[in-house]
Amino acid sequence: MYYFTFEKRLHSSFKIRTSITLTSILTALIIGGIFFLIIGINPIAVYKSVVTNVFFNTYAWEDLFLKTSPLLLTGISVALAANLKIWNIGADGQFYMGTLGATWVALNYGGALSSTSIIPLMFLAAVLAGSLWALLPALFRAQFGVNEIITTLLMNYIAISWVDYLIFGSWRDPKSNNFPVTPEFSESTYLPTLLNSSVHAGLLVGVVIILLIYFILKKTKLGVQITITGDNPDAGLYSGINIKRLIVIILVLSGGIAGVAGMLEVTGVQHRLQQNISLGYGYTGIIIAWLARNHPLGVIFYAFFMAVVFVGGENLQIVFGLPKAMIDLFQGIILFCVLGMEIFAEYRLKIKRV
Amino acid sequence: MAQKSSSNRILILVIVLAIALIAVYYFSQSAKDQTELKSDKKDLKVAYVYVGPVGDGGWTYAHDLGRKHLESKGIKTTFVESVPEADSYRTIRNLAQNNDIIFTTSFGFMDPTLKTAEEFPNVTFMHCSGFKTSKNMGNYFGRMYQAKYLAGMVAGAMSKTNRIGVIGSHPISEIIRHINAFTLGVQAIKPDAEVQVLWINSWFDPAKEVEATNSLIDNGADIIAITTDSAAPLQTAAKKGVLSIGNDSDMTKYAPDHHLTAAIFNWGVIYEDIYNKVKDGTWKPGSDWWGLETGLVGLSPFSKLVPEDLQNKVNAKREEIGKGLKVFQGPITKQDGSIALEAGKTHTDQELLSMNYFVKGVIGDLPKN
Repeated sequence: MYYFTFEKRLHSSFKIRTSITLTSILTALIIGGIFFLIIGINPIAVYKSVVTNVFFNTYAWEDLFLKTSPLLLTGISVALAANLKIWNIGADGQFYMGTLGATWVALNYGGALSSTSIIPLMFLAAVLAGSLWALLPALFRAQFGVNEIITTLLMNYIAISWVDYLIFGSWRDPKSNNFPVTPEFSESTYLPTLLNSSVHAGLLVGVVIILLIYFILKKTKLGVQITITGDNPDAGLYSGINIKRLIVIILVLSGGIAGVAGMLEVTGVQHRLQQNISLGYGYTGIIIAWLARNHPLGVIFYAFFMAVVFVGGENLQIVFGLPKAMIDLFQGIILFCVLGMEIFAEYRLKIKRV
Repeated sequence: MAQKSSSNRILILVIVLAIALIAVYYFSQSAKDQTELKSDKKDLKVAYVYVGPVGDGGWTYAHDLGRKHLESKGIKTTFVESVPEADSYRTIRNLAQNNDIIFTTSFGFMDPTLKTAEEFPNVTFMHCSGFKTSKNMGNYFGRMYQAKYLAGMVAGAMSKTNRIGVIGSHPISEIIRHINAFTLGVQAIKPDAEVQVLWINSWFDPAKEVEATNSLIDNGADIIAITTDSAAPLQTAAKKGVLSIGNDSDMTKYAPDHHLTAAIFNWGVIYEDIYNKVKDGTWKPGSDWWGLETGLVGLSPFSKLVPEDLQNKVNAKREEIGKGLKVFQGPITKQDGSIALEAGKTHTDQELLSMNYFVKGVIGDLPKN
């Protein structure tokens, strides 16, 4: 009689992690391939098509970077809080509030100010709006121990309702035949684009913010406090860290970062506020943070990884005429394998004999 | 120490990846010009961008029947379904690289379509239900309100409580126009009947649609009509023994014993027309707004519940509208009692396209600016 047990690894090195991630992606491709075979499509052709259409096409590269930009920020937003073992499920709502803040500035001052003054203003408004949205759950968590998973999640729906209220109401474009969108912003609010493409400068903003967070976590006193308290709140408490203050600072910062993602999306891509503008970026941020094990640099890699998954999926729809549901299924398989096999990074599978 | 060295290695990996990305980007950049050379336009390729799933049984399903109509003529088509409006620019651009005609079939796709049309001057873009045009972008739509008027006549005649419930999708001019025409049709048979509207602010949300259906029935509606895309309200109504009127495509199979008729689109006719025009070079950007006489809009076959004399009455009206009778013919009174159209007057197309009032007999609110 044999049975399996998990034994904790003493060291979980980068090499082990990388090989496990690669193995899990490979597993996903094999399982996905079986599904493709079932519906009568050659999986090799599918994967070849993804590679050629995603990695060897200029437009697809632009798509990848456009998708990566908001994900970098929602990813680091969730990852930052998670370093303190605070679960910010509200990045999506903070994203929406960020779009709201930036849109308010753009609609009111868009025509009057030059790019150099309005873009920083929109940035500020987005940070403020996103932070405020995280402040309430942060205070409740710090002061009364209210579970932030619930509060941040529920705040998402309130944020969406606020956006709907404004775009169906006083912000609605009078020229839109009643369609719920704001007027297009004036061109002074447009983010500069990179290399003559449609990729906006938000990509760099995302990378810079991630590097900043990385620096804060590794090199500053605040970072040490986060690491200690995140590992063991009691240790934090006994070493004299003001945990309540720390929770509020980090969650508010996390909200502000998600707000920036929202601002980048309205000023860099859409140039107006409309319904469903987030496309679930806040929730994808949770997946990214989890995959990256809350490491800031890992967020860069996995934000890009998720962008590949999305853009690649869309290409499969176009090239093979696969239904959207099949694409969702395949994306689900990939995430399931990558997340599911994470356990092998921490634990070793042992087969024992009784 | 282990922690530190591993993060260094991640850093190196990220840098290497970044360099690789940039390298590939530049290589593909130089290849870009070559791929943009279009093959000669003998066989036009057609692509569709849908806002919902092709299996919604309504709006997108109807467009996809139109696409299949083209396929049946041997024309190569592609489609992408369930494209969020906020993400549509990327999808449209993606398709524009390898296609000659792009149909985008949701109002929210209008500006992304316009933007892509500027980037791809050799591709023809046709946007459904909007109003913007450019050198290589036009728009098309059906005078669905004419069919809605006919459906309203059926509902008015079949209602016993004189109250008909309508699931409103988005309170935009298109839907307001449809609800008004429907109400005018109801009142053509029963001048005192009322039409209650509940907005769900979504095109496709079966859960909300079911909720709204239940509320409308609880409020006394004995017929449910929809402006949304799913057939869920019809199924819910059928369970309660309530009659229903479908939207966009024949929904009989979802409520076989309760579905009276549906105001439907038959997109195939206009898609074939546009395709042929683009192919022989006679296409011009403009606004195609086709009515009952073209067959683009109409009613699905009546259910056996609809009495024959009513069927004849509705068919006679269909003939008249096809020959030029206006649905919005004054006098028409607004919900609040003020005058929308004086006797003898009709709305211009522009007024129809930007309609923002409810006619008398509609119970429901419009968002205020």
